[in-house]
Amino acid sequence: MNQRVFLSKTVRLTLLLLSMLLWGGCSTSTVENYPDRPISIICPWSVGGATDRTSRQVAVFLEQELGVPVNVINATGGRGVTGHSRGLKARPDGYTLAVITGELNMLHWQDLTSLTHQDAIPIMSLVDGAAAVFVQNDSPFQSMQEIQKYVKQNPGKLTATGTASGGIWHLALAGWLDFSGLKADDIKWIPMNGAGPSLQELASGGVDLVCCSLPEAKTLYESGQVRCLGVMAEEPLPEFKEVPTFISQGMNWNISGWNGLALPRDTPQPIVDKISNIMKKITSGEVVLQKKTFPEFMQAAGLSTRYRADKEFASFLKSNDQTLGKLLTSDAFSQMSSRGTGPLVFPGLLAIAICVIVVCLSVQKKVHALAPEVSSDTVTSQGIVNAALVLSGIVAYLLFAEKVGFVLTAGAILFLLLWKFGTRWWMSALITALFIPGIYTLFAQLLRVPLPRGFLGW
Amino acid sequence: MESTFITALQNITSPEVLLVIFLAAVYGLFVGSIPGLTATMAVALLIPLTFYLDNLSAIAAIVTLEACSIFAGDIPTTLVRIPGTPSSAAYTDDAYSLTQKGLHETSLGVSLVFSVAGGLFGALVLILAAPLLAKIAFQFTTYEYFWLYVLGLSCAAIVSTGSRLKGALALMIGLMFSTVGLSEVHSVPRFTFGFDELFTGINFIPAMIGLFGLSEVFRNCLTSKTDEKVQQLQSTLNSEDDHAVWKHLKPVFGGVLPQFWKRKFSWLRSSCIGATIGMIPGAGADIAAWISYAVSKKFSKTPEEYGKGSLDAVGDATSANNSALAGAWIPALVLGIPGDSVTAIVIGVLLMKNITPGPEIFSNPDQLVLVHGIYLTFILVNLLLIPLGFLAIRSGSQLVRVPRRILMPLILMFCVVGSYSINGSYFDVWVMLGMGLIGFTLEVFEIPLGPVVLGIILGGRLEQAFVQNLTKDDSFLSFFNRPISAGLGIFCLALWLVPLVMPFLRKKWQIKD
Repeated sequence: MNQRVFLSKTVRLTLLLLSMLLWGGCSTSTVENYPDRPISIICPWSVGGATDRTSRQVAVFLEQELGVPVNVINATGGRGVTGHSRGLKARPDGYTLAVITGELNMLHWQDLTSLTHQDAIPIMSLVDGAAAVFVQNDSPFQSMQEIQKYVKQNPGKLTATGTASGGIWHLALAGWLDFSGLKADDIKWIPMNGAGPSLQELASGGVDLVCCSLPEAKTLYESGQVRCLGVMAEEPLPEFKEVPTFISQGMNWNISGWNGLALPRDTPQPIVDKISNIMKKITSGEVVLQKKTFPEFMQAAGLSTRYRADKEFASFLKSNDQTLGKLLTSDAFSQMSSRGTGPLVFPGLLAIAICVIVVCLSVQKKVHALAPEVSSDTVTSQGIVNAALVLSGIVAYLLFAEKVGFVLTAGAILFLLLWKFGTRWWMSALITALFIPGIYTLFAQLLRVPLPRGFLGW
Repeated sequence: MESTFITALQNITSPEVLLVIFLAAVYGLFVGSIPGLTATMAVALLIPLTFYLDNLSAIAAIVTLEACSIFAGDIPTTLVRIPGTPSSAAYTDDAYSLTQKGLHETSLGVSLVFSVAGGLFGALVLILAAPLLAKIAFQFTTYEYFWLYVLGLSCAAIVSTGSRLKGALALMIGLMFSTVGLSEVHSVPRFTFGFDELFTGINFIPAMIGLFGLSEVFRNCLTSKTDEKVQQLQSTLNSEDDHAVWKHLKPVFGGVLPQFWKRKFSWLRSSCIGATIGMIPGAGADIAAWISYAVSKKFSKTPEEYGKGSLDAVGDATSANNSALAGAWIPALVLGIPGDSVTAIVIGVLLMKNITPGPEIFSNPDQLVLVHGIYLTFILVNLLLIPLGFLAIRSGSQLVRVPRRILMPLILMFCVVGSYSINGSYFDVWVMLGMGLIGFTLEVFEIPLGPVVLGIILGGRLEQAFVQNLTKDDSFLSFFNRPISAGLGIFCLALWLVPLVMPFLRKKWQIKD
């Protein structure tokens, strides 16, 4: 009796699922009703940095305007290659926006990616932080001319940092040296990941100069731990009026790091227009959130901005690409990158260490200790089948999740595993029916962590 | 000073702030106990909300979230052997062995109480000595970092169970994995074999989930343990005439208080280690846990139990990782230099609220109230963690009663979803799968997994410091040219050389005698 009631229940459940399937199938997203599900913004840099802060600010405003959740995903690493690739190579359906930064115009010159600015549909440029040079508070240098003079007399004596080798701030300093008629490696560049650690290194006395943007150094600068000798901008920055420009010190040299919002190439035009119009509204200060507009938020965060929309942004990208390309392909720069501890030194040392350890283990006559120990819990044939099932379950997920969607793929795998491991089929179905939607709600809805979406959208 | 403190107290006890703290605590426990979701991620997800909150609530929410999720990371570590956060990796084997003995509630009880005690100690250090100690951050250049990373890694290798050589081998394997991807210092891709995804390198979170969690699933499957229930050791502590409430409290807290009293000095030592390491930007709760674990083993009377289910180990390491949290706030508040990834976000939030971290927030009375508010939140949260953590432990412990044939597929699902959700990348799921197989193989050869994880986490930074040092000066002697770096360096070398030389010396002495 019980079994029958249960059966009829499962039949009803199946029907319900089926109808949901059909219903879901009908409502595949089209351009007209865009957006009808959450949107992701891919940020190529890590949490807490200037680009991340910008991305999250944009996300909050877009969310209010578009009426769907907008999530920021930090796809970090590989000096920005990872994030840029993921953002710009995403499905061009308007549900993935890309935050692009100056590195987009640098990485392809350094043969690190084939992506260029032509893979992006530029929407709006946001932050534009001019490079600035900092010294420790008790440094003897008072102006850029003094540094120029010192470097001329003592090439290779000073050390500087701010980002990785070949990063935007490195480029800014090397470009300035080149401009001053010096060699690009007359100031030794110590590679560091990010402005924060670089400034700490400066304050600890580990390097002589740091080149990064003023907002990044705001806290240490304002507390007097570091001094700023000059900013590579055309005019003094409104927030830091007291900092002299390079031009005012007789050097006509400007360069800045920037970021902006873009869409993958081939995104349908109506979607591009919609996002572009909303971004124009947001950056012009029309949209108010918590009694503050977007520009006010950005100013509060200490980020200097330069809003360029569509065409203007596109032409900026083009000219910026050429400027950076000229620098990166110049003799001064290409000579420099081949210097120093090579990339295979460290892995080489590790490989030697591994060999030594293995030799030691065998010399100690512990070779037997390296051989697999046959323990009391012996492997059964059923066990091998089960392990193979687990393995193929994961592989099946990897193959099908993107096309079929999380709920169906994971549901099928979980059901099969439970069933094959010896749980009765209806119990397995029940656990699956409770667990999978539970995880989906938890991750995708409550915690806003994206899960694979198939053709149904879930 | 006193008036701002009282204002801060009034602010923090307002119903709204208390509600925010309570909700953030529940959220933190929840996120921390799901493998793959880290404290940093939880805080990042909270940022949009902080725009709607006033300054104190926003910062209080972050403090709460952080403290609760680091403790909650111990729950999956203990119950299903998937470290919830990297900070739990040091004592994964101890905690999980205790579960297999049926002592999971005692182990989690120790985790909870020592976490709270460590957290409170860290908060005290933050309150009493923040401006004084902040200068420590300015003592660390790339030379000191290099030795600090070497020290953390050495500790992981040396304390691991079994032969020290195997620990070293595990460490080297981990470091080798960390070299995959685009080298940050050279801008050259290494070992990527043409895969774009490998540019990012191997993310340690899917690696950790695979090494510990998935390999455990494999082992259970292969040995057909999926058929059995976990043996339920009915705690011998329970007697019939216990009061109803005590019956629930006893499995968790019963053994803890005597344990705490017995280990009060080692708690103090671990908390000091935690707070000091937390203060150094770039070193965090994970290194603190390892070093404290190593020190604890060194001074222990029963070092042979470490790695096989030692409550002492769990207690010492967990108090260190919690006290490191408060330590990380010291350079963040005083100098505006983030001590870890969470405080990096905090600085962003503070700037957004028109507060610039730095010495002046201690002189501006309005902002001093906020700073005092942060202090009080740290204390309040750690106290709140006792009842909430207890509830989390009790509800989490039900997991152990689930038969393995049901539990294993569910754990597998969490491994897959957890590793996918960090970056929303399928490649991370591949990494998790590969690491699961590697972890299983390594365990067959009795090679410890902890050092592999730490190697992956610190490898990149170690190499970076190594290359930076050599770029500054070509000679290896420069590694010892600053007082702290020389001290740390000699200590590290001694750590490895003394055990090698000792047998020879001992023989010589015996001959002389």
